[in-house]
Amino acid sequence: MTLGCDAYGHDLGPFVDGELDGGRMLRLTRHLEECDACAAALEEVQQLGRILRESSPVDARPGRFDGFAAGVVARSVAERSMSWRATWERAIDGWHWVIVGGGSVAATFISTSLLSVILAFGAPHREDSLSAMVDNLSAPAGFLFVYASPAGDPGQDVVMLQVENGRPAAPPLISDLVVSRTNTPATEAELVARLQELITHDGRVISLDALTPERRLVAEALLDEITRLRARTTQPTRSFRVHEMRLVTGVSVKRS
Amino acid sequence: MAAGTTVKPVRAFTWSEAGTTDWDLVQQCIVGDEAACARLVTDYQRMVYQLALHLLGDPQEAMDLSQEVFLRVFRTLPQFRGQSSLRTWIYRIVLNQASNRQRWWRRRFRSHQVALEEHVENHGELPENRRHAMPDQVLQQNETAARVWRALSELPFDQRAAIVLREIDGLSYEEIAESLGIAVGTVKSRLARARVNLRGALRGSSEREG
Repeated sequence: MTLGCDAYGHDLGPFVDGELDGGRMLRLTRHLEECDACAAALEEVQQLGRILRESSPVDARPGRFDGFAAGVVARSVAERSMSWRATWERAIDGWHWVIVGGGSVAATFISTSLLSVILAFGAPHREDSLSAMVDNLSAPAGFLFVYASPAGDPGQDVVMLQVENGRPAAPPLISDLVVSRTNTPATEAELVARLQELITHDGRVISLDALTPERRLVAEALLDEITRLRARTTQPTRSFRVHEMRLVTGVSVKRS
Repeated sequence: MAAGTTVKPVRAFTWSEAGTTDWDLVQQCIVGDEAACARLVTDYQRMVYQLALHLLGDPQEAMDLSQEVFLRVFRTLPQFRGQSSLRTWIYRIVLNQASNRQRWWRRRFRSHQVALEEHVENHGELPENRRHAMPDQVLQQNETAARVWRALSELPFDQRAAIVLREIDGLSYEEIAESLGIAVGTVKSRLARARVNLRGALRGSSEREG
């Protein structure tokens, strides 16, 4: 096969089939006169066609089509007079993929609608249900408060720190509590403002007993901190000894 | 012209007349003329059966498929608009039905390869072999034919359909494109791929002969 045979390889079939345009046919004819390999490939294509034609299945069984036309016509006539159900089945014959697709879309729509209705109007789940457990696991674990005192002075200056537990979504009131994340101490005025914000409702002071356990805990901590700040000397605190830790969750207070 | 030969004059028959005849036949079938329906089946039954046989390789399957094809032809005849010839339109139905059926057929039964004896039983020996060749040559050529047909049966359906329509049924590229509902360029590429695959089978037998 000479250089450039690749350019003619795709033309051999159309050449044999008589489907090559004039110019290419002329070029290929010239090439075939010079190139034995392409001539042999052409012979292969022709031989292939000969084999397929000469050895193609020919059903020479006598009477193969006896009664065939009559049978088909009779069946066709019978089909025409069949029930509406059969007519419908024939009409959708060949539409099976459309039906499958439509069915899938309809099933998805119905399932989604049903799920939405259940979520919107269904009964709340029990606390010991799997769904409740999943909700609890995915909810913020709570806020860890640490009661500690400055090292070397265990009787005084008990402070409360909020330690991040790695979960997001801390309520604003608590996240800014007492000592910030950067351990920058809050001023007394800020603490008083926090306390006012906490124990007032619609502009009126409410009893501590009316607060939720978490809010009450925070209020007490704020009062402690305000008291501590008022009694505190200007001695800086750098290290603390931990007395108690509280994990405040949405529903309970756990002590450790 | 040889002496003594007589030529009987006949009326010229044009393609446009053939189209008109087909169209009339279609109209008669649509209104439920059973004689016209029977004529349509008789006119095309051999063509449909042979194509089905070449595509499926099983006479009984081909016969069943032929029935299904004509039933479908009668069901969908009102949709025939005459944009292609009736022959091409029927080819298309055969190809669609065969494509559906061969998927199911191949999954169920056609995983085995065609034995030489089976091929000879189904297809017979090559006509030329029977006339001229020596017994060992006949055997050799039958083996080659069996290999080619086995390779054909293993081709993807689209390639097989293209090569059968071209080599056995003698359709032009344009007619194949219409029958398969594809572009002429796609016909060319499918034929080229089919021929490459089949020539591999042919070459294998040539090498063994060598």
